[in-house]
Amino acid sequence: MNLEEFTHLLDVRGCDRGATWPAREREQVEALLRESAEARELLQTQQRMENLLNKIAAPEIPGLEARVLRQPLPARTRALADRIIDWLTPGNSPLAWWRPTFAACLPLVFGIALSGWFSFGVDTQDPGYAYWDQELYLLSLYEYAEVNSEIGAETANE
Amino acid sequence: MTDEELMTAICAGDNSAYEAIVRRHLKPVSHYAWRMLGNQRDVEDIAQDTFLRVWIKAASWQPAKARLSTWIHRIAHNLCVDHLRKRREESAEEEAVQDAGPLDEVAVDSEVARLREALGLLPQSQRSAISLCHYQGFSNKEAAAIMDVSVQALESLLARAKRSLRKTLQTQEA
Repeated sequence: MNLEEFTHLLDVRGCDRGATWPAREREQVEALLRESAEARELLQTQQRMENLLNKIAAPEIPGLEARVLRQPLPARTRALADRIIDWLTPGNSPLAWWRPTFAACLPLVFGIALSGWFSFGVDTQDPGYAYWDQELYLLSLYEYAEVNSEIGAETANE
Repeated sequence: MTDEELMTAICAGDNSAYEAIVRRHLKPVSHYAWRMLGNQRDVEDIAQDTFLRVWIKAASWQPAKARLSTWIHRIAHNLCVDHLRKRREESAEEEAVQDAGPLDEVAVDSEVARLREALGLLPQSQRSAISLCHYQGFSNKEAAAIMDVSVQALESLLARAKRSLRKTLQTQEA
């Protein structure tokens, strides 16, 4: 390590060689300091400058904290989606797990309620409604018979 | 409470968490602003604006990327840079009068006064680098993040700043 490199290290890492200097560089610097009087002088100048810099203290401004705390803060308006997500997320509280569970059950409850209230075009008052099961059964048989007859016709043609 | 817990509370609109953050971080922020701007009135403005932004932008702080003090100093640094830019646009005469104030308050002996004056005359980026690394105790990496420059660029600023200050001291001795 030469003097120029040492000066750069002092400038960018400061004089406190114990805290921020890498061990390898520290060893090289110690060797240089043992050998070179110029390096020792440079270190002294740098230490003196850092000591002087430490004497330049920033003043405390009286009442600053009160003024910062007194300033009006804008109301925190969060998006509805964010608030819903926050409410649904249980976080660290195990008691809050009812919220996502409740949210997951909602579509099921909604479906049951909807089917109770809304007929989807099926008139339950119609006397024919009682025969819907039979009607569906007959329809399926009809399709089955139709398909079978087509297959029978094809076989006969062959 | 940790900074992270307090910031989560601020995101939820908790005023007491905001007060705790102000009490914890105001002093270093005001010291940094003072070293950058050099007068009390501007420091008050910067401190108020910084913490107002902390309140508004609380959700954008990412603890995995930076310590809270680094993030807050970055806000303060950007405000100081904007402030200095505006000040430069005003008359140079007015600027000279403003800069003379804190020098009288702090000067203990002529050597310190000279160094203080030399610090005030450094370009803004070099003064930021010295303030963040020497006074605020940030690592070179953190200071580079606050100033939004590379670590090499920061180290170059530090080296140039210290060279200027050393020169000032040596001139005085001569």
